[in-house]
Amino acid sequence: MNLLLRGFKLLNNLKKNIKYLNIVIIIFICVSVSYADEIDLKNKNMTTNNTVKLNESNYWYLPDLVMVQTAGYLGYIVGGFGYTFFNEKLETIACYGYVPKNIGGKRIHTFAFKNSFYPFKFNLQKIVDIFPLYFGITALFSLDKETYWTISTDCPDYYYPPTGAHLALNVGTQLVFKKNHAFFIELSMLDTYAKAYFWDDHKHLEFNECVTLAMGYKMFF
Amino acid sequence: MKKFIIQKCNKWHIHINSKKNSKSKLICVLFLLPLVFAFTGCYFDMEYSPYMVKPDKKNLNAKNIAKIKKIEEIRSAKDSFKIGLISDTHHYFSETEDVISKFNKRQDLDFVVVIGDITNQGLLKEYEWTYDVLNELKVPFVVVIGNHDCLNYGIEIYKEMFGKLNFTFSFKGVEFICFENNSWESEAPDYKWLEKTAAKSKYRHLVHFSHIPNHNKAAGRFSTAEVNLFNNIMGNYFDIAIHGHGHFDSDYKLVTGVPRHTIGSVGYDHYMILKFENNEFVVERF
Repeated sequence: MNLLLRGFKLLNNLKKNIKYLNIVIIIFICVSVSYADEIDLKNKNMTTNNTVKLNESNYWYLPDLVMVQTAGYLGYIVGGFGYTFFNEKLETIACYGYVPKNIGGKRIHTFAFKNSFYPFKFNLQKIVDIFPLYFGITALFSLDKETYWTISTDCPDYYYPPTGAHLALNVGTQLVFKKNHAFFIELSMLDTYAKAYFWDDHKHLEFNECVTLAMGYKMFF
Repeated sequence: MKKFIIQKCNKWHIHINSKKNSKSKLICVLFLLPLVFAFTGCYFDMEYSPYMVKPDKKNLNAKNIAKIKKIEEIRSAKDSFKIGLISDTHHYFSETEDVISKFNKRQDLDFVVVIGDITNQGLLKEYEWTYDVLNELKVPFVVVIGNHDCLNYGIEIYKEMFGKLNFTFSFKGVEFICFENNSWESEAPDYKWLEKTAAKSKYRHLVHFSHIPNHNKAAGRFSTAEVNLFNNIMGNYFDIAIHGHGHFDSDYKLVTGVPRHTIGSVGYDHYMILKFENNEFVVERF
């Protein structure tokens, strides 16, 4: 019984300090990169005693990267994993974002799929890869009691567009260090804001009112 | 298709391997990186989610009603007054600005009532955009919630930003009762509150504002019983009822003789002036 009570007290304390947890997560991921063993999935030859000879085709489901991000309509803290295609020119990331109550006024949970295209690349002495401009589209979903795919009242179907799903257009720039660590910054525009700016009223609204900034880190395997 | 894309992109991928300049370029990149971050951070906001419900401005209706009370004290000698009425501003910000500049030029209005639909999807950003435009008014304004304003977490945002969904205030012997009747998007309209508030009013004249015209079933929003109840309340207590929602002007008269008006959307240049003079209400349409 005492153990149970101690357990509940610990959980309550964790809950109160949840706002610091996101900072801990970012630091943990960044630090853990330095100590992780690298398993070279693409190279079939053994490189060190610690690497294992793996057949890439058996482990196709393992992600190519993990990502941490803030803002960009996805959340205060966003985490996800992704895959790259066509020699890292296309990238798809599945992610989950969370906004705590003290930041957003209520707890917000968002699931999203980020798809990005990297047409341009500069390489500096094999240390830094610069992707000066990339383009992307994100589908984000936040289904809660107030958001919906179709409104569940007497309201006729399709009277309103789905409020639980949105699209966002992204434009960004990315730096990749030693092929493993990437930092990116991007601008996103939500579909509702894009319609307001380009279709409804672009005389009054300013461009910077309709876009948001996002910053993040990726680790490639 | 795959080979085509790779070939195309390989042309755009530039490898700078010259040892002579690459170090200086690397230093430039690393030096410029924080500047890029700082510049973009200063100019662009970071929005965590479109579903946030934490507005910067709060209790705006109560604050503006307090300002209306002060105007009432200043103009106590005059019995007549004029108020401006607009509705369905949605994303028609430029058109709303035009109407507001007309209101500001007049200088004979005591306050303005916005009868709902100030957003398209009830998002916080939309509420803030509309507030920035309405704040250009030189007189106080109150906002009634519309059906679009209830979408997503719009009701929570409205309650934080403006106040209660159903509220009332008075000006120069007239009570204005603002009623939320967005039945599909919100809870069932509180007709008991409406009747109770109208019944206990100490004022001789009552004006009703609600976003959805409630005199008929409104495409299935209201049942026959609700329509009859509402019409009875109007007939028993109110001098005039004004609505929005339809985006076009229209007038109705109930069998009990209470005039009903619907204001068209400000996006189509519609607005109204409600004049109270010699114990009568007169409507001017524009």
